[in-house]
Amino acid sequence: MTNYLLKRLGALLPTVAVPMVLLFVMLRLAPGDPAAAIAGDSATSEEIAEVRTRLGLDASLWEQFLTWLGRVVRLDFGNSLFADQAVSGLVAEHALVTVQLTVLALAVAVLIGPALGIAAGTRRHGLLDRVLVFGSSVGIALPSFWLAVLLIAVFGVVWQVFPVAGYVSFTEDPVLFLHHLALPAISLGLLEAATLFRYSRAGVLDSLHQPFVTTARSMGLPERTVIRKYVFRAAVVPMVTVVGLTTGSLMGGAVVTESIFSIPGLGQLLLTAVQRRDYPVIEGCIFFIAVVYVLLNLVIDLLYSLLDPRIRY
Amino acid sequence: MHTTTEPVLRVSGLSARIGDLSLVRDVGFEVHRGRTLAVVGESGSGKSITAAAVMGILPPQIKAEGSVFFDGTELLGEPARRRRARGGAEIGYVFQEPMSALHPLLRIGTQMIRPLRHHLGLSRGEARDRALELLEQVGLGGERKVLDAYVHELSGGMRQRVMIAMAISCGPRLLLADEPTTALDPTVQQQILRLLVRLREELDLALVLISHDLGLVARYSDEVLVMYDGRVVEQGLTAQIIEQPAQPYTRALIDAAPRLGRRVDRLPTIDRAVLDQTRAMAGGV
Repeated sequence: MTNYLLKRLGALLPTVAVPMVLLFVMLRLAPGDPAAAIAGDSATSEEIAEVRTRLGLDASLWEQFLTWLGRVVRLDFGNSLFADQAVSGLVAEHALVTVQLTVLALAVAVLIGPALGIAAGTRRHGLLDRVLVFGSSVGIALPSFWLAVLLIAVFGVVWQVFPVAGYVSFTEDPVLFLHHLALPAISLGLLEAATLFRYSRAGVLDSLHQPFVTTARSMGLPERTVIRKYVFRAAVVPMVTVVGLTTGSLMGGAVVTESIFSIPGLGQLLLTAVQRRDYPVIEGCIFFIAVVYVLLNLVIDLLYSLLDPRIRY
Repeated sequence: MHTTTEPVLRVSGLSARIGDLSLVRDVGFEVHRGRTLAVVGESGSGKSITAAAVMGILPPQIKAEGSVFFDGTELLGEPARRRRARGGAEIGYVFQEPMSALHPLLRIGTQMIRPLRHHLGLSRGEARDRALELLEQVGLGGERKVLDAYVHELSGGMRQRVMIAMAISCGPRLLLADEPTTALDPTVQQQILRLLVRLREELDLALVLISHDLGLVARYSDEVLVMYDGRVVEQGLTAQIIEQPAQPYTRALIDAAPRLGRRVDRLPTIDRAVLDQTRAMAGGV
């Protein structure tokens, strides 16, 4: 187990290194010049060149790469080219918001999806099942930003029960925090709930006729106990993977949702940084996302062995 | 046959169909307390369907008709809830593959304790003690660790012993064992059959032993029911049928079993003509 953990953590390094190097190359190949942006519209070419030198962007790509590598291995991403702020602080501050939004959205998805999946799976072909299957098809097909705009129109504009944009930190006011994040979390989470619904329904349908479930029935246990203790227990394991993947796509989806609701999260930070070619900030954001993905996968695999005694590392 | 008391189970005119396809037709037999009935036939002969129909665990698309009279009550047509409640408490069922019939993610103890608490109203601690006694009864005494084990950690024989311990745990009067030894080594097969017969005596059970191997179950049964193509071909006392089978199909089934010390180049098969004749004969009943 300890061996396995060390091995997995060791694998973290190349898994994060590859996207980082790719990112470095792609950013420098992409059109756009941060020096020109910083110097401003009215700057002369001498002024732009001066900024470029100050930022070290006039060196050859190899030199830039080596300097970059030297800093990155020490986890030092430097300062933003625009705001005079350390990248680490910027990323931490914005990531916190995104993580909060993701957790809330995940809670929405996990609370709704599996419960409905069990309800539908155990009443296959019933009215509830048919309605939910149709609803989940719609949910999977819809883009989250569409739902976000719809929710804003209904609950923000027509009924005005939720604010249409903005963010209040949890420490400042927990109630306002939830009030502001409710619509974004629902618009993100509801669509992921549709995916979770599909998987849990399929899992339940699959387990319902497993021999060990027949055994439980043959022992005279009431159907409710059979479903709760035997069917669901078997269906829950593969769902851990789905929840893991969902968390990943939620973080990705948060980028779009954040910009719709003007939430100062990682998505907004990244978007602005890309528009301005703020290389260090982009690199910091991507680094954070890559590490989270890898760790998330590790956590899923560990959870797997916790839930299934046949899996041991 | 040997006794004047009421049989624990009397099946008559039992048929099972899936849509228009008939799986079992007009099957009838009786089992008394303390007796063993072997139901024998090849794959697809309908013996497992018959057992599942008695137990009430047929897949929903299969419909059963006829009569399953258990201990003074007609089971077919009984409300599903009542029927379910008899499982474990009145009728025990031993499945063919203990590996898949036991939950892979729950400890053996958890799986044994739940029916005990449900049917007998035992506390958690009492149920655990009872489970240990049961394990002892099926020859897993001193294996305290079995309760905390998962099914994949046990050997094939141990798994089937656990399965049997569970099936008898809530005091059934009838035990249905569907090919209980098919998944096991030959030596373990004999052990498990001996265990079933011993338990039948100790608990005064009526035992239905389903098998494709007439030679194997002959030694452990009092009566035999031979099935082919969903119908009863022959039934009677085991000794008589082994001595003098009335039907060529039964004779062929006995001859088809490989025996130790008898060298053969090719295992005998059952003649096509015998099969056709058997089907015609059974269908004509």
